[in-house]
Amino acid sequence: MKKWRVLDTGIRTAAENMALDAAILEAKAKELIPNTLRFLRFSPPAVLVGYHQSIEREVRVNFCCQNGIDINRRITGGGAIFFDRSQLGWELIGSKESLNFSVASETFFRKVCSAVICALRKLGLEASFRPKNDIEIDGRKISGTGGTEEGGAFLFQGTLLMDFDVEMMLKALKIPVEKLKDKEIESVKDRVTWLKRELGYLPSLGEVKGAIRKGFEEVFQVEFFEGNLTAEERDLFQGKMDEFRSDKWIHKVRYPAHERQILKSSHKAKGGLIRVTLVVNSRLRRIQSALITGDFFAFPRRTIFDLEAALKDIEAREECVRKKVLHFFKNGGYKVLDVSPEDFIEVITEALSKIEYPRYGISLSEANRIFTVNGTLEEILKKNIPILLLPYCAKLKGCKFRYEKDCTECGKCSVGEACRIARGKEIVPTTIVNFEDLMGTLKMCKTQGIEAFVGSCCEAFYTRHREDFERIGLPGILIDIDNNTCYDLSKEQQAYAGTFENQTQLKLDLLRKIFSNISSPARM
Amino acid sequence: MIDIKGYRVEEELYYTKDHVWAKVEGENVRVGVDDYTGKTAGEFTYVDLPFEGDEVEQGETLAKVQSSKWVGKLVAPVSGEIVEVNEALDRDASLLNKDPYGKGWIVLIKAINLESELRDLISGDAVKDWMRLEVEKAEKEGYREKAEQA
Repeated sequence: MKKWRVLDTGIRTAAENMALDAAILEAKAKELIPNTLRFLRFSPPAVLVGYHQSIEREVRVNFCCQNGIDINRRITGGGAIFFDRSQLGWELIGSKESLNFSVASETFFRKVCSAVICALRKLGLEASFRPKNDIEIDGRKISGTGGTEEGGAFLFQGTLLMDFDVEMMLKALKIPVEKLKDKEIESVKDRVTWLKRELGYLPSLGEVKGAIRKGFEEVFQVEFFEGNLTAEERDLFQGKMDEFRSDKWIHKVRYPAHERQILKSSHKAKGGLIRVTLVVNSRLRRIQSALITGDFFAFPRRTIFDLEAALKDIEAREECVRKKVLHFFKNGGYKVLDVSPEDFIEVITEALSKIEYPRYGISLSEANRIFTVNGTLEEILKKNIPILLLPYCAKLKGCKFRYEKDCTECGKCSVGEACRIARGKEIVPTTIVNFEDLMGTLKMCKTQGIEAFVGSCCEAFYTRHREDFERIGLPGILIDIDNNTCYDLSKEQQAYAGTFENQTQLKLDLLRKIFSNISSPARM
Repeated sequence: MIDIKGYRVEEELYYTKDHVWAKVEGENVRVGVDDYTGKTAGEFTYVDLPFEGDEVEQGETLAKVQSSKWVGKLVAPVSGEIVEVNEALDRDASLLNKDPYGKGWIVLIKAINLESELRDLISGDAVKDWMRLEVEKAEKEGYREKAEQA
């Protein structure tokens, strides 16, 4: 039986662990060492970006510096990860020839992962492989992996979450959750898991390492002997430390910040609300990651997590999204009650359409505060827009015009200023005083042959009433509002009736930007 | 162009055993990866290209490519100076998959030791046999599953 080495390099800093990866891989490429299973841990905690990622885009650098978290770059591909002291890293370094491959494939990843899956089963957990290269338990990721090669050697590595501080990870990485609300933290907790949570106790490191070692022995039909770093490896390691500690390595990849976009959209399907948040590399036009939440029912529970995994790394174009989503639902045995594949395609495509917003001087964060109905932003901006619809909730609470269509433009609230901006563009402002008034105004505009409108409302209102806007069919651009809305305060019934008593704030900067893109003089 | 078990192979090219192809164009050599690489690795998402004017040695890393969280290293088939880089790959790395022998070329190298280095590469009748063996090896290990789905 073949003999491989098992090497435990203990607890080390991020730079040491990264330099060791490179040193051991080089030693293997030079055929100085046997195939090796290495265990590694980190102290201080570390954030590690993938080889091709940019620190600025993936990491909350200030938070990490203030909290003593190391930042470094892996030699392997994949996404940014947070490695706290409790986690265990595992990796296999070997010759491609010994595993009979020249080009690494998903089946190769599957084979290496199957050793760790075998280990998790020994611990009593039903783990499985999720393409392209994660290990999961009931849809929740417990081990993410990545790899690289050099000459005839390869290195394939993974994390194993033992115990995990989700909040700390969210603070250290730029994961697109906005305010770390409980709900957002829960949605992340839904997607990852760790040994302590699954087993109900924290197994000892020795037990876990032993299980992984046995898993590799069974899958690869080998025997392990315990070894240490060789003299050659130690020399290579020492020789690489300066490089892996250097800014040149850590900040090797710098992309302009605008290339990483977070795009959001929501859509009310028959079976419930779907919200999608995409992280997109706009230069490469690729979806880096997708987060899909909502109040629909999916069977099995893992459906959405698998869909998110399927959308990863695909081209950020409608035809690619369509192909992927249709293929996913056709072949996977997945079902979402009263939500069709078309609903998912629509909401994702709509989020993607925001890639174009910077062309209109609208920044990334602003892009998610603009909603459109019955057309894309580009289409609507080409139309003649003669009317601005403003919500009464933005007027002063004590204003006697609060529930009237008019405004005296006294300057005490944002509505007056919005009216002035509109008039400067020959656009007629009007206040919407309740839901019926909105529907009546839109219908009237439609009858009068008005091509499109600009309006302002909160995201919750837009999401809930999008179908009503679509039924009337008038294209429009809606700008989000600030401050606590009726929906934040659970007072939508009062708002519907026109008796909501809080004051919101219009986003005047965004309104100016939208108006600056309306080229043709608009007339009612 | 021939088809070997689902992989397109340009017989007249030179190959490294890591599936990098080389095409002689006068004193220059155009370089890319073969169809087998694209179909086996999956869709490429990033390419790290060298710069024009860089000098490379045969067998040295020429470019790094990423697919499915794997950073693959492509080696130079010949030594020389890089005189042209395919910048289209910067925006769309998947050209390596879509058109490996055409729009997916990687660099043009002005070779300095062409004749002797070409002898180190797989060419002529040996190409077919080598590729057939590669596919059989992958089939034996079960690595072929993905290619059949592709």
